[in-house]
Amino acid sequence: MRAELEILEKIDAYLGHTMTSAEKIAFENQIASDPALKSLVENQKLLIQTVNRQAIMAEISAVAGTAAVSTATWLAALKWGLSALGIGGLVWASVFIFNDTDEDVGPERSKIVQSTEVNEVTIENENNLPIVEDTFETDTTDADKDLYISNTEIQEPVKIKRELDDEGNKILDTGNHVKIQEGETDQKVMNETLSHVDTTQKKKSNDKDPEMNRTSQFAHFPIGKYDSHQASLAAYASEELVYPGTPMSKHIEGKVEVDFIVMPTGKIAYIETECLAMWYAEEREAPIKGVQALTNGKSRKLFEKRARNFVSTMPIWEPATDSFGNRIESACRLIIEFRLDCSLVYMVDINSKERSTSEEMSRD
Amino acid sequence: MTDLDLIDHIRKGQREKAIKELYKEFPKIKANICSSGGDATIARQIFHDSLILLIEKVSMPEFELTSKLSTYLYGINRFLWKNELRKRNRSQELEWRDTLILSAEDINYSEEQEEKIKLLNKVLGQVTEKCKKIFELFYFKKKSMTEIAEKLEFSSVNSAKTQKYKCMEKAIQMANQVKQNSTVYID
Repeated sequence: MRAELEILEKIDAYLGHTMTSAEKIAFENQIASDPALKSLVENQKLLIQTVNRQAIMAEISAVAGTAAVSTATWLAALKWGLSALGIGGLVWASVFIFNDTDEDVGPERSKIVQSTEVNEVTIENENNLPIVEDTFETDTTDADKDLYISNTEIQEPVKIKRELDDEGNKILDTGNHVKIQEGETDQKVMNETLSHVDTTQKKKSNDKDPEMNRTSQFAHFPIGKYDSHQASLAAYASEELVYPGTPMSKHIEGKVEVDFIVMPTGKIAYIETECLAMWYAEEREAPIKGVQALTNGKSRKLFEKRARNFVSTMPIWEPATDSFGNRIESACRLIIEFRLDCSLVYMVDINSKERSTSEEMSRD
Repeated sequence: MTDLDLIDHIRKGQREKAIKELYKEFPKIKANICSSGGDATIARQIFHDSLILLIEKVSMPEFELTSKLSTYLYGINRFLWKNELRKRNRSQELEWRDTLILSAEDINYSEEQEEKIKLLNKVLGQVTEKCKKIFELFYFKKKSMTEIAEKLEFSSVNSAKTQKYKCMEKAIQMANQVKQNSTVYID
């Protein structure tokens, strides 16, 4: 034990650059002549690197989280300043034009729309420009709350009251009908659901997924009293998903893709929304484009906003787990189809063929 | 904050400030990744990985700045994103402005090593809290064993050292075990 300890300390000194140059040279010679020692050094080096990476990653995540929150407050202040100056209308007009030019751009349309829209999202989150999105909306407090919640903690999502939607319609507070499973109490429930893991799904996730989160169990909406996660999600959506007023009055339906991260705690973070398509309820086969898309930019924004709101106030999720059963962070994608008769919400595999849905748009 | 300040912060262990500053580059990088088939989620993952590689690289005593730090960061992101695209069998030319073309050696990136680290990441999720604490304090926070023994209430410095040795042995042994299992699984 003594000797092994000494070797370990020597390796630490070598890797931590605390050896004198003479010691270093001697030790390097020793490594060169002793393959066992060499592999020991390599293992230890990797372990140290991994420890450090985990710690740095924690710091990065912390910064990423706080940056977004401070943006939200800063933004609120700026928004008030702007409206006080009465520039709101001006911004609205310019943004309205700027915003919608990307929706009518010829044959490669879907691709272009996709990229420009993502740029737009970028601006919204990092460059503090989302004021423009809200200048023509009445429920600003809602938007703030929304942003705030999505970046910090969702303790009791169902308690958030949304009293007015964008058109000032009264929305009922849907209160406490969803049971949130929290903390240790849900451990049991979760283990139960985990034991139902479909083995094929498990295998699938092990085989592919080149990314960080090699999950052996995907994150799920809490199953609650329902038979499946999907059923539970659908039931939740039927009560909680708010159809925005403007598109409703115009009979416009839309499809929104929502990407987000389920943290190891089951909380939702980093929500990104993108409206993939809109169409009139009477003509579901024909997506709205061209000039019509231009004039309905507001509906698109509202769909995205409702979708964001819906996701940010969801109850605590069942986090993904790796093959050891550790809870890990994972990326999820929901598709929300706002339909006047019955809206749909479903999860899609984020690793599957990318944006299969956007193909739908370019179909014609 | 100048590049030299950033490097100084990273080397002194005040990474948070540096990360905050570097995070300002994220929107542009995200836009670049998104315009070539990526999405916001993968952009964030790649950006976070690039920050780690940058911090590791900068922390090395032999690191010398040959371009702007942000340009270097772009270069790493471009490399990682290209790598990811290759994994998805969608190799394509990336025309990023103001970037460096970096090779795997430039940024000390090796697929084999990343695999091993991924494995160890999981293993570290399995070792006891005490072991994790020792590792973090010793290797990341660079505390001495005396301080650690005191902080974690070991009876003596020697028993802390012994514990650390056992922890490392256990972790490496677990990693090897998992590796064997996974090869069996693939076969």
